[in-house]
Amino acid sequence: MLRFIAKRLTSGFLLLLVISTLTYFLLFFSSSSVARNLLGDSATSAQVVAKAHELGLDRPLLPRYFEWLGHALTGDLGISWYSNQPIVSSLASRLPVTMTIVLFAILLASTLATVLGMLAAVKGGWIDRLVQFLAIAGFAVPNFVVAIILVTVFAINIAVFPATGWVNLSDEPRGWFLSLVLPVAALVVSTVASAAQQIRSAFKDVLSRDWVRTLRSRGIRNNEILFKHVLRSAAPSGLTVLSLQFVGMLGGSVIIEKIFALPGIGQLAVDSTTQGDTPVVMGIVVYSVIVVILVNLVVDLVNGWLNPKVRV
Amino acid sequence: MNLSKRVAAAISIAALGLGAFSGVPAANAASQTTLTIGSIIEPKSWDPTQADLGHMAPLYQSVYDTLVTRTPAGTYAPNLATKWSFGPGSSWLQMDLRKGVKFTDGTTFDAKVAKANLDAFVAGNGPYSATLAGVTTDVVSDYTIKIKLLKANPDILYYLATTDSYMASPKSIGTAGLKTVPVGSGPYVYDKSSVPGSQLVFTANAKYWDKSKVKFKKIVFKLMTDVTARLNALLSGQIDATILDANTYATAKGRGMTDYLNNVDWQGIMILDRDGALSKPLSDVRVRQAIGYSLDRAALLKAVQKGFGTVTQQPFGKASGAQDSALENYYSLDNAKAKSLLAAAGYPDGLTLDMPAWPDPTMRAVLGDQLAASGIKVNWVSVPGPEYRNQLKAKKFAIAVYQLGLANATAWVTINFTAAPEASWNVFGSKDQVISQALGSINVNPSEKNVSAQAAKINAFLVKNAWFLPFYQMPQMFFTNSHVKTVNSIANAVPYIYNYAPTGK
Repeated sequence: MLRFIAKRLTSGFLLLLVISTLTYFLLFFSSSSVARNLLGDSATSAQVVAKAHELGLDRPLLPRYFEWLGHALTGDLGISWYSNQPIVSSLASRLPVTMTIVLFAILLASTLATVLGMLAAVKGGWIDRLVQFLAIAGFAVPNFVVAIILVTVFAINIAVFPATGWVNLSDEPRGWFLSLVLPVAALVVSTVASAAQQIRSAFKDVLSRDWVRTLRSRGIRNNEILFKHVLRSAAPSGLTVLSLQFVGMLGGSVIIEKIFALPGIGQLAVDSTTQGDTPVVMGIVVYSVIVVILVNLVVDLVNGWLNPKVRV
Repeated sequence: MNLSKRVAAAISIAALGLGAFSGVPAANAASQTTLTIGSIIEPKSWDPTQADLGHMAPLYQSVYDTLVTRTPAGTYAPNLATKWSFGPGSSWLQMDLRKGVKFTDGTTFDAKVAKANLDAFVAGNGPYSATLAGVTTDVVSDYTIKIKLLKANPDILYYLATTDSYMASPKSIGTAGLKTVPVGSGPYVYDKSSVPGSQLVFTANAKYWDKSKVKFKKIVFKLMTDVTARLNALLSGQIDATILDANTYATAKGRGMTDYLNNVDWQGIMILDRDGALSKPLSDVRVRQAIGYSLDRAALLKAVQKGFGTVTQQPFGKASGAQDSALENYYSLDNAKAKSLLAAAGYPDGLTLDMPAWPDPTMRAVLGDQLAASGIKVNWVSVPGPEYRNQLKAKKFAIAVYQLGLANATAWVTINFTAAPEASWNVFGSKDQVISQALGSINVNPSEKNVSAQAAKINAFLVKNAWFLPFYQMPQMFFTNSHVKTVNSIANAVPYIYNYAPTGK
């Protein structure tokens, strides 16, 4: 198992190196005039040239890249050109916001999707049709629409949850929980819809297998078959879908963070990419790739635990 | 506004309409002792040398004092400078400074500190450092400085009141720490509980020299880039004041919020290439005028701004003292005249102009149709948002739609944005005798009266020669709830921090 983990971590590191290198070079060729954007309309051309020099933008690409890489390998991701904040501390305060929302959303979504998917596969009939209808509706309604409706109803008209903002758990646990509810709910809706469909299909597939029929013919209780055998066999495909959903949510959280004015990593990613804040974009890419690598590693480990054949 | 934002605004407004029947009042979390503002931006740096106008102004004003302040009406009032006088031809400005002012780190403010700050500003390569280019400051006595100007600067007080004279503690000048933590002498103190990128917190400066300016115990700026988030936060009582837009105006107003409309910008066409370097047709004044005669400004205002604003044909605003009411109808919509001007210029079959695609599709559609009616076809060239300005500055386009904060700017600011050889939006460096003579006159006599008179000549020239074809002045739409009131600051997108006060409700 340790060998398996070491192998995955090594390939993950190489992946991180490749993606960060590609990103750095792509940003160089696509970046706008950062110096002009920083100084605005009124600055003279000479000022813009001086600002570009101050930021090191007039230096050749390769030395700049290797300097960034050297610092990054020591954990120093630099300072934002736009906020002057150290990127490591900026991401350290923002990543937990996004990760908390996404983790809660994925946990809730996986629980609901599993229950709905199982019910649809096992019971069939109107429950199956309802799940399929909800899946289509979930796909059709974007999460920002869900978010706006939730805010309007539960934050403005009924006023039980805050309309915007984030409260740290350490500052005020109740406020933290309340600030989580609407963003998580908005993310969960579409995720549940697609995941429930996948889990339903996986369940149906496993239920139609010969060995399930054999178990039934031996008189084993239906609940035992479902939860001990079928669920375990259907879990890997559900897990794969949920891991993809998790990664997708990291990107999809951008709109949710904007609507709820959450200081997460998604909004920072959009702003810094738009502005051409290369050090911040690079920091976000590094952190995001690490998160994705870790999520995939965890999914592989769980899959291996569920299905020993995967470990081979 | 892109499609998703429009959809978001529409859904928000529709849902609020439905919710109105619930009869449940919005949350009311406002407190008279705390002012919470929804801000669309936060400072890139707290170093005063990097100070900026507009949305940044109340943030800097919270922690820093300026030498002079600008009243809502646009006059100048003492602040750290108690009185001032100009030398002959405004070649220098002598200022007496306030005694007994201390920075929050305990350092005393005096003439040496003022000089250190002004010198740092000149050398700091910030957004507005060019406005003090060549300026030197002498310490005359412990509390008197003399600011020497290299050339006439009729707006020296304006710049000192807005961006150029935020005073930082001398211990912090030039340090890296000043970029992230301000150390000033202002009415509020930057609080360590601030989380850049989320919210900035300021507490009242207990030792501030003017208690009348400290009206709240705490001010919180919550960073909210999305207008729907700001609307929701305002309606639910999470914030007391914020800026909204034409799409959210009716909802906020309908929910009892107080509006403060302030014409700060105008939108219009900038014809940048008047010498035909990039587009030969535009070197002919008749082609430029044909564009002017093709515009239905009222229709643009209605379609793009939902009617909010005032149509105008002049790049100079009322506050400049250079406006001429006769110029407001210089180009009345006349497609036949536009066509005949094009024909006289050698384009009887019309022409095609490349313009960078303005982000608002409504603007593109309406403006494109209006120009097409005179035989001018617009080829909208896709340009990424952040690149729009850069491509204009890089002379990639001869003509473009743009928005300039000149609706109520001073005459000198407007000249330096539009007409001077080195003006921000004279990117091709166009020159004309009318402009150079007017600038020469201002250099010799920078009195307010003469600046306005010369600016009027430039304004008339710009309109008649169609260097700029404004459509309308458009208001910034600021809102407060019932707990807070404010006053608009002339030519600034949002109110100055000094102008907020609790209503007592």
